[in-house]
This record gives sequence, C-alpha cells and structure tokens, in this order.
Amino acid sequence: MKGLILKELWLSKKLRIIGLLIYLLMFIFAVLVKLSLLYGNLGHLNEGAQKGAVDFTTAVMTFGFPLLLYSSQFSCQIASDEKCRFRLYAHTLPVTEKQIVSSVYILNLISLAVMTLLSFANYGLTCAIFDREFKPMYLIYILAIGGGMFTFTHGRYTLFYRFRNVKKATTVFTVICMGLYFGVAGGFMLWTNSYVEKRGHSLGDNSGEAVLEDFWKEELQRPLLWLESNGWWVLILLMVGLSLLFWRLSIRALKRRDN
Amino acid sequence: MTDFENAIEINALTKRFDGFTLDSVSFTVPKGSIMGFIGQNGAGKSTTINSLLGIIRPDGGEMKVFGMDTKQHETEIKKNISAVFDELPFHEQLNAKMLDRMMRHIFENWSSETFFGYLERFQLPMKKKFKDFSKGMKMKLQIAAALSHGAKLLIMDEATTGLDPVVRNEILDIFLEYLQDEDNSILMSSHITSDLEKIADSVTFIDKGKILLTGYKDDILASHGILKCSKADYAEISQDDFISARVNDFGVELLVSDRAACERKYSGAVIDPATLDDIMVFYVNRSDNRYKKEWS
Repeated sequence: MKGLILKELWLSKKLRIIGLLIYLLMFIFAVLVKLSLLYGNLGHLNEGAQKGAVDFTTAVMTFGFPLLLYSSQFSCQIASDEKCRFRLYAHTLPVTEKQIVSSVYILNLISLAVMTLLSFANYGLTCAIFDREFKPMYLIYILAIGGGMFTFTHGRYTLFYRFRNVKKATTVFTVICMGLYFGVAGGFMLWTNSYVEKRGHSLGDNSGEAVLEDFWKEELQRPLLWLESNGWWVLILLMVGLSLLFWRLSIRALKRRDN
Repeated sequence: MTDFENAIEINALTKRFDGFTLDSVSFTVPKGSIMGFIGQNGAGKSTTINSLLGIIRPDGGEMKVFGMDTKQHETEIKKNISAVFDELPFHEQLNAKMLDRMMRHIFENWSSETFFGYLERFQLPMKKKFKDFSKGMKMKLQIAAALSHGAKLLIMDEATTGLDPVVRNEILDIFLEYLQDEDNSILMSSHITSDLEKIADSVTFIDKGKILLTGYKDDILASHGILKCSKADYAEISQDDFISARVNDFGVELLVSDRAACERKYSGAVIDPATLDDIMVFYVNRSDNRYKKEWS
C-alpha cells in the first residue's frame, strides 16, 4: 500500500505546493496589514475602521486559511488513474480495492493531521501578531473545519469511484448538495411557519419580531445550547461515521468491473 | 505455488456484451511456452485477456493460472504474473525512478537492480517524465517493469502493435531470453502474425468470439498449405478438403488443413506452405461462411 500512497502523493504534489504557497502569500499579506496598522496607511484610520480591518484579517487568518489549506491538501487521483488506464492495470497488480481506496484515505488523514497542526500554529501566530486573546475553543472549530472538509471531499470521491467520470460525479454531487441545501432551508421554513401558525400570528404582523424571538428561545436555543456542550462528539461521530460509509462505498464502487 | 503443467487453462469462457459474445473459449498455454493469440480487431482477444486478468467479470467458464482457480487465488496469482498493454498504464507525470519506488512496495519480489538493468539496456532515461517518452520507449518501459518482479507468466495484449520493426525485434529477443527459464510462459495477443511466427510455440486463432484453431505452431504450419489450381480444377475439389478459397484472375488459392492427404488425393497439385497470416485470413473467411472469396 505504501507504493500506492507514494503514487497519490507524487501526483498531487503540485497542487499541494501551490496550496502552501498561497497560504504563505496570504500570511505575508496579514503581516503587511499589521505593519500598515503600526506604521502605514491603516494606522491613520479611526479606531473603529482599524478594529474592522483587524477583525476581518484575523477571521480570515483563523478560519479562512484552514479552509484553503485543507481544500488544497486533500486529493484523489481517480481521474488521472482513469485517464491513463491505471485503474484497469491495478486489477492486474497484487493489490486489493480496499488497499487502493485506503491509500487515498490514509494520505488525506495524514494531510488532515499535518494541516490541522499548521492551522493551530497559524492561529497562535495570528493571536500573537494582532494581540488577540487565544481561545482554545477555536482549535475545536478549526478541527471541525478540517473534519468537515475531509468528510465532504471524500463524499465527492465516492461518486468519482462510482461513476468513473469526474464531470458526471461532480454534477451528481452538486445536485445532491443543492438538494440538501434546499431540503434543510425548506424544512426550516416549514418549522418556523408551523410555529407561527401555532402561536396564531403571521410573520407580517407587528408582533412578528416578538414571535421570532420566542421561536428562538423556545425552539432553537435549547438544541443549540445542547449542541454547544455536546457538539464535539456528535460532530466526530457524524464525520467518522460518514467517512467510514464513504470508504466502504468507494471500495464497493471500485470492485465493480467494467462491461 | 504448487507444481503445474499448464501456465494457463481456460475452459468454456463466456462473456456476453451487446452485439458481441465470447462463446465458450477454451485453450491452454503449457508451462515454459509462448502462445500467440491471433485474431483480427474485435475478435475477442482483449476480452479473453481482460477476463483472465480480472479486469472484466466473465459470465461463465473456468480459468486457471499456474493450476489455481483465478477467482479463489486472485492475489497469489497476481504476484506471479505481469500484464503488458498496448498503451502505457502509468501516469505521465511520473518517471522511471518513481515507478521503481512505487513497484518496490507493491511486489514482494521486485528487483530494482533488474529494473534499472533493463532501463540501461533499453537506454531509457531515469528522470524523464513518461509524457516525454516515445511509443517505443513506453513499451520498453512496460516490459522492463513487467520483467522486474520475477513473474512466471507474461500476458501481453497487442503489446507490439504500432512499434517499428527494430524495436519489435529487440522486444522479441527479450521474450526469448525470458523463456530461457523453463518455468516462464507467455501469452501474447497480436494481429501481427510475423512476430508470432518468429517466437510462438503454439497459436490460438480466434474470430467473432469463437476459437477457430488451437495447437502447436509447427504442427499447424506443417499440416496447412495453400493449394494453387486453375478455376477448372477448383470445380473438381471437394468442399470438405479445404477451409476456404481465394479466387482471382489467374486461378484459385485454397487453404487445406491436411496437406499430406491433399497431396495424395490431388496428385500434381501445387501445395505451398501457408503462413499464419494466410491461415488467419482463410479461417476468418470460412467463419464468415465465405467458402469462396472472389479477388479481381
């Protein structure tokens, strides 16, 4: 399996280096923002504008950079395998479908670990540069971004293995994501509407704002509070469960032979 | 790996596609020999080879490699076989050095020394990306990779197609060297019969998914012949005595499968030796139910 991991690593090397270079450039840009606040044009702005600039830069540094890093470091060369017919050739090698899929997962798990550490360091540096309070909770948010990206990306790869055609897989994935988005949005609307009807108001009333406030307190606050204290394990369970499911589905899809 | 008599045993292999059926294909490749698998494009050579390699799932039949069932002993078999295709199945961004490192972790018996030895012999660059390789270089690379893990069976699908005669000859020499080890065997599909005529021990002809003829090359070449006669003489020859005929302005050429018997029966008739190419063409005409083909 080490051979397959090396192959995946070599083929994605360029993309990974580009991702790290973009991160470096953005980091330099953040440092320049700080220098400009101290000695340059940004230092001439009023306090509110300066605070806005710092807030924006730290938010991008803390959460935007991990997003960039994770998205550039997770990869799967199934399209490339398909193009040069390596997928078919692999059937003649003493490797199993499980090993082929696992090599992608192992490499991406290593990337997840390395990029998470880099993102933690990046957050620490951001706090130091912009004199911000270091919040340990943010590390969990960063990890959640990484875990989410890992699960999301591997869901897409499952469709690559299934369809063996990147265009088709991406189209189906987009349709599924849109379906999920509209499903959740629609469900939320139905929920709020039924609540409003239950309370005997309509959202157009003058009392609409008060109804929404009540909706927040009665319906949303409790589950959100519960999630805040228990969310970490729900999230981990969800991501691990989904990733395992995608892993198994990918192996099954790869086992399917062409006609 | 237990002792085995045949490197490959295929029995009643069947695969159905829309518009094509591989119909109960059976043949064997004895250990230590090279078999030429001959047929025109779309005859079923690749389907047979892909079924054997596990690239496609057959609908029926039994396949054994080194005496082991291909379904039950898939991994063990794959450790000891090598496949060579008409196109390079490695990524264009890789180079020979990377391929060596990759294969070293895939095959237990991979020998970097052997691989680099072949690279040197074929004058292939180590660090040049495969995308910059010519077709001949790509084929040599595939063969170098195929012969570097001590495979006991080499399966090649149209591997020499599209190569110039110099490279083809060089590759055929390598195969002959490989066969110096009596445990090694080769199954080589091609429609370039001249290559197979040079090196094959046995041949199998396939057309439209059916085996037309299988056996030792020398026996087949010795028994078959091209009987040349006039159109008037042709009218007197029994249809049971020939495979098919080629009629042109100067006379008729018939492929006979029992040369000695025909020489006795039609004394005075000129019977020339047939090539594998002739045999393929005449048998294909017969399978098309064209016992007589007019050539003008």
